[in-house]
Amino acid sequence: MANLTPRLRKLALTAHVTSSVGWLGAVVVFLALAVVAVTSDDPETVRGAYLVMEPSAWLVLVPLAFATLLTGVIVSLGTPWGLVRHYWVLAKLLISAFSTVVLLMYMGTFRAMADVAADPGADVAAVRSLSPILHAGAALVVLLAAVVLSVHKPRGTTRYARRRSVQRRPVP
Amino acid sequence: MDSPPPYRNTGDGSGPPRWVKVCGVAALVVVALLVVLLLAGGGGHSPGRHAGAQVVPYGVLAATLPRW
Repeated sequence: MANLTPRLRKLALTAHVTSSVGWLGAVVVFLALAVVAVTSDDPETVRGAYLVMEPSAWLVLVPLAFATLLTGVIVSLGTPWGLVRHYWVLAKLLISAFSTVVLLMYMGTFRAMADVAADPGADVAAVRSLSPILHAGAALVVLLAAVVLSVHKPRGTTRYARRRSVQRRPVP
Repeated sequence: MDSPPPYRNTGDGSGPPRWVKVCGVAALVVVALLVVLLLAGGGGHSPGRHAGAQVVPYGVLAATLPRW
Protein backbone atom coordinates (compact mmCIF):
# COMPACT_ATOMS: atom_id res chain seq x y z
CA MET A 1 0.00 0.00 0.00
CA ALA A 2 1.35 3.42 -0.96
CA ASN A 3 2.07 5.93 1.77
CA LEU A 4 -0.80 8.21 2.69
CA THR A 5 -0.56 11.93 2.07
CA PRO A 6 0.21 13.95 5.23
CA ARG A 7 -3.40 15.12 5.46
CA LEU A 8 -4.84 11.61 5.10
CA ARG A 9 -2.26 10.27 7.52
CA LYS A 10 -3.34 12.78 10.18
CA LEU A 11 -6.99 11.97 9.53
CA ALA A 12 -6.38 8.23 9.84
CA LEU A 13 -4.20 8.67 12.92
CA THR A 14 -6.83 10.88 14.58
CA ALA A 15 -9.48 8.25 13.86
CA HIS A 16 -7.23 5.51 15.24
CA VAL A 17 -6.37 7.36 18.45
CA THR A 18 -10.02 8.34 18.96
CA SER A 19 -11.35 4.82 18.49
CA SER A 20 -8.66 3.05 20.49
CA VAL A 21 -8.76 5.45 23.44
CA GLY A 22 -12.56 5.41 23.21
CA TRP A 23 -12.46 1.61 23.41
CA LEU A 24 -10.27 1.83 26.50
CA GLY A 25 -12.65 4.35 28.11
CA ALA A 26 -15.66 2.18 27.31
CA VAL A 27 -13.96 -0.78 28.98
CA VAL A 28 -13.40 1.35 32.11
CA VAL A 29 -17.13 2.19 32.14
CA PHE A 30 -17.99 -1.51 31.78
CA LEU A 31 -15.67 -2.32 34.66
CA ALA A 32 -17.44 0.28 36.82
CA LEU A 33 -20.82 -1.12 35.76
CA ALA A 34 -19.69 -4.65 36.59
CA VAL A 35 -18.51 -3.55 40.05
CA VAL A 36 -21.82 -1.79 40.71
CA ALA A 37 -23.69 -4.95 39.62
CA VAL A 38 -21.78 -7.09 42.08
CA THR A 39 -21.82 -4.70 45.04
CA SER A 40 -25.20 -2.96 44.86
CA ASP A 41 -27.82 -3.76 47.49
CA ASP A 42 -30.66 -2.77 45.18
CA PRO A 43 -31.97 -5.78 43.15
CA GLU A 44 -33.26 -3.49 40.39
CA THR A 45 -29.85 -1.88 40.03
CA VAL A 46 -28.21 -5.32 39.81
CA ARG A 47 -30.66 -6.57 37.17
CA GLY A 48 -30.50 -3.28 35.27
CA ALA A 49 -26.72 -3.40 35.11
CA TYR A 50 -26.68 -6.83 33.44
CA LEU A 51 -29.58 -5.90 31.15
CA VAL A 52 -27.80 -2.82 29.84
CA MET A 53 -24.45 -4.54 29.24
CA GLU A 54 -25.36 -6.45 26.08
CA PRO A 55 -26.90 -3.58 24.05
CA SER A 56 -24.17 -1.23 25.23
CA ALA A 57 -21.51 -3.68 24.14
CA TRP A 58 -23.09 -4.04 20.67
CA LEU A 59 -23.46 -0.26 20.30
CA VAL A 60 -20.15 0.87 21.80
CA LEU A 61 -17.54 -1.86 22.43
CA VAL A 62 -17.92 -3.82 19.19
CA PRO A 63 -17.90 -0.77 16.83
CA LEU A 64 -14.92 0.75 18.65
CA ALA A 65 -13.03 -2.56 18.51
CA PHE A 66 -13.52 -2.88 14.76
CA ALA A 67 -12.77 0.82 14.23
CA THR A 68 -9.52 0.41 16.18
CA LEU A 69 -8.53 -2.63 14.14
CA LEU A 70 -9.42 -1.07 10.78
CA THR A 71 -7.85 2.35 11.39
CA GLY A 72 -4.75 0.70 12.87
CA VAL A 73 -4.26 -1.36 9.72
CA ILE A 74 -4.81 1.72 7.52
CA VAL A 75 -2.38 3.89 9.50
CA SER A 76 0.35 1.23 9.58
CA LEU A 77 0.04 0.23 5.93
CA GLY A 78 -0.15 3.87 4.84
CA THR A 79 3.10 4.88 6.55
CA PRO A 80 6.69 3.61 6.45
CA TRP A 81 6.02 1.83 9.77
CA GLY A 82 4.25 -0.97 7.92
CA LEU A 83 2.03 -3.64 9.42
CA VAL A 84 4.63 -6.36 10.01
CA ARG A 85 7.92 -4.47 9.92
CA HIS A 86 8.18 -3.39 13.55
CA TYR A 87 7.49 -5.66 16.50
CA TRP A 88 5.54 -3.01 18.40
CA VAL A 89 3.12 -2.51 15.50
CA LEU A 90 2.73 -6.27 15.09
CA ALA A 91 2.13 -6.64 18.85
CA LYS A 92 -0.58 -3.98 18.73
CA LEU A 93 -2.23 -5.71 15.79
CA LEU A 94 -2.27 -9.02 17.68
CA ILE A 95 -3.64 -7.34 20.82
CA SER A 96 -6.44 -5.64 18.87
CA ALA A 97 -7.35 -8.75 16.89
CA PHE A 98 -7.26 -11.02 19.97
CA SER A 99 -9.33 -8.58 22.05
CA THR A 100 -11.91 -8.22 19.28
CA VAL A 101 -12.29 -12.00 18.92
CA VAL A 102 -12.66 -12.48 22.68
CA LEU A 103 -15.20 -9.64 22.79
CA LEU A 104 -17.29 -11.26 20.04
CA MET A 105 -17.13 -14.60 21.86
CA TYR A 106 -18.19 -12.86 25.08
CA MET A 107 -21.30 -11.33 23.50
CA GLY A 108 -23.06 -14.65 24.10
CA THR A 109 -22.20 -14.38 27.78
CA PHE A 110 -23.65 -10.86 27.90
CA ARG A 111 -26.86 -12.29 26.39
CA ALA A 112 -26.97 -15.16 28.90
CA MET A 113 -26.47 -12.81 31.85
CA ALA A 114 -29.19 -10.49 30.51
CA ASP A 115 -31.59 -13.43 30.19
CA VAL A 116 -31.00 -14.40 33.82
CA ALA A 117 -31.38 -10.77 34.93
CA ALA A 118 -34.67 -10.44 33.01
CA ASP A 119 -36.13 -13.52 34.67
CA PRO A 120 -38.25 -12.29 37.62
CA GLY A 121 -38.10 -15.75 39.15
CA ALA A 122 -34.32 -15.72 39.33
CA ASP A 123 -32.83 -14.85 42.69
CA VAL A 124 -30.63 -11.74 42.66
CA ALA A 125 -27.72 -13.86 43.92
CA ALA A 126 -27.99 -15.96 40.75
CA VAL A 127 -28.01 -12.78 38.65
CA ARG A 128 -24.73 -11.48 40.06
CA SER A 129 -21.56 -12.53 38.26
CA LEU A 130 -17.90 -11.70 38.66
CA SER A 131 -17.23 -12.63 35.05
CA PRO A 132 -17.64 -9.09 33.62
CA ILE A 133 -15.20 -7.75 36.22
CA LEU A 134 -12.60 -10.36 35.29
CA HIS A 135 -13.03 -9.83 31.55
CA ALA A 136 -13.16 -6.02 31.71
CA GLY A 137 -10.11 -6.03 34.00
CA ALA A 138 -8.17 -8.24 31.58
CA ALA A 139 -9.27 -6.09 28.63
CA LEU A 140 -8.10 -2.98 30.47
CA VAL A 141 -4.65 -4.51 31.00
CA VAL A 142 -4.12 -5.54 27.36
CA LEU A 143 -5.50 -2.27 25.96
CA LEU A 144 -3.24 -0.28 28.31
CA ALA A 145 -0.34 -2.37 27.04
CA ALA A 146 -1.27 -1.28 23.51
CA VAL A 147 -1.25 2.36 24.63
CA VAL A 148 2.19 1.92 26.20
CA LEU A 149 3.48 0.37 22.95
CA SER A 150 2.08 3.29 20.95
CA VAL A 151 3.72 5.89 23.16
CA HIS A 152 7.13 4.24 23.61
CA LYS A 153 7.45 2.49 20.22
CA PRO A 154 10.12 0.05 21.47
CA ARG A 155 12.86 -0.76 18.98
CA GLY A 156 13.06 -3.88 16.93
CA THR A 157 12.35 -4.78 13.32
CA THR A 158 11.04 -8.13 12.18
CA ARG A 159 12.92 -10.62 10.04
CA TYR A 160 10.66 -9.61 7.12
CA ALA A 161 11.69 -5.95 7.45
CA ARG A 162 15.40 -6.82 7.67
CA ARG A 163 15.12 -9.01 4.59
CA ARG A 164 13.35 -6.22 2.67
CA SER A 165 15.98 -3.76 3.83
CA VAL A 166 18.78 -5.97 2.46
CA GLN A 167 16.96 -6.49 -0.84
CA ARG A 168 16.55 -2.74 -1.34
CA ARG A 169 20.20 -1.99 -0.56
CA PRO A 170 21.93 -0.84 -3.76
CA VAL A 171 24.54 -3.17 -5.19
CA PRO A 172 28.01 -1.51 -5.00
CA MET B 1 3.31 7.47 14.40
CA ASP B 2 3.07 10.90 12.85
CA SER B 3 6.72 11.20 11.80
CA PRO B 4 8.06 7.68 11.76
CA PRO B 5 11.64 6.72 11.13
CA PRO B 6 11.50 4.21 8.28
CA TYR B 7 13.58 1.62 10.14
CA ARG B 8 15.35 1.20 13.41
CA ASN B 9 17.60 -1.81 13.22
CA THR B 10 17.98 -4.09 16.19
CA GLY B 11 21.74 -3.83 15.90
CA ASP B 12 23.35 -7.23 15.56
CA GLY B 13 20.51 -8.66 13.49
CA SER B 14 20.55 -11.84 15.58
CA GLY B 15 16.80 -11.91 16.23
CA PRO B 16 14.04 -10.21 18.16
CA PRO B 17 14.98 -7.78 20.95
CA ARG B 18 14.64 -8.86 24.56
CA TRP B 19 11.31 -7.10 25.16
CA VAL B 20 9.74 -9.15 22.35
CA LYS B 21 11.07 -12.42 23.79
CA VAL B 22 9.92 -11.58 27.34
CA CYS B 23 6.46 -10.44 26.24
CA GLY B 24 6.12 -13.40 23.89
CA VAL B 25 6.91 -15.91 26.63
CA ALA B 26 4.55 -14.14 29.04
CA ALA B 27 1.76 -14.17 26.46
CA LEU B 28 2.31 -17.87 25.75
CA VAL B 29 2.16 -18.67 29.47
CA VAL B 30 -1.09 -16.71 29.88
CA VAL B 31 -2.67 -18.36 26.82
CA ALA B 32 -1.57 -21.82 28.04
CA LEU B 33 -3.10 -21.10 31.46
CA LEU B 34 -6.36 -20.00 29.85
CA VAL B 35 -6.47 -23.15 27.70
CA VAL B 36 -5.88 -25.31 30.78
CA LEU B 37 -8.61 -23.45 32.68
CA LEU B 38 -11.05 -23.85 29.78
CA LEU B 39 -10.29 -27.56 29.44
CA ALA B 40 -10.53 -28.08 33.20
CA GLY B 41 -13.91 -26.38 33.15
CA GLY B 42 -15.32 -28.81 30.63
CA GLY B 43 -14.14 -27.07 27.50
CA GLY B 44 -15.58 -24.25 25.48
CA HIS B 45 -16.28 -20.64 26.38
CA SER B 46 -20.01 -20.98 26.41
CA PRO B 47 -22.29 -18.26 27.78
CA GLY B 48 -23.58 -20.47 30.56
CA ARG B 49 -20.05 -20.83 31.86
CA HIS B 50 -20.14 -17.33 33.30
CA ALA B 51 -23.79 -16.69 33.99
CA GLY B 52 -24.28 -16.48 37.71
CA ALA B 53 -20.73 -17.57 38.43
CA GLN B 54 -19.69 -16.77 41.98
CA VAL B 55 -15.91 -16.85 42.18
CA VAL B 56 -16.01 -15.09 45.53
CA PRO B 57 -19.08 -15.38 47.79
CA TYR B 58 -21.11 -12.20 47.51
CA GLY B 59 -21.22 -11.80 51.28
CA VAL B 60 -17.44 -11.46 51.36
CA LEU B 61 -17.52 -8.72 48.75
CA ALA B 62 -20.49 -6.94 50.26
CA ALA B 63 -18.70 -6.61 53.57
CA THR B 64 -15.71 -4.88 52.03
CA LEU B 65 -16.97 -2.84 49.07
CA PRO B 66 -18.93 0.45 49.10
CA ARG B 67 -22.72 0.60 48.82
CA TRP B 68 -24.35 1.97 45.66
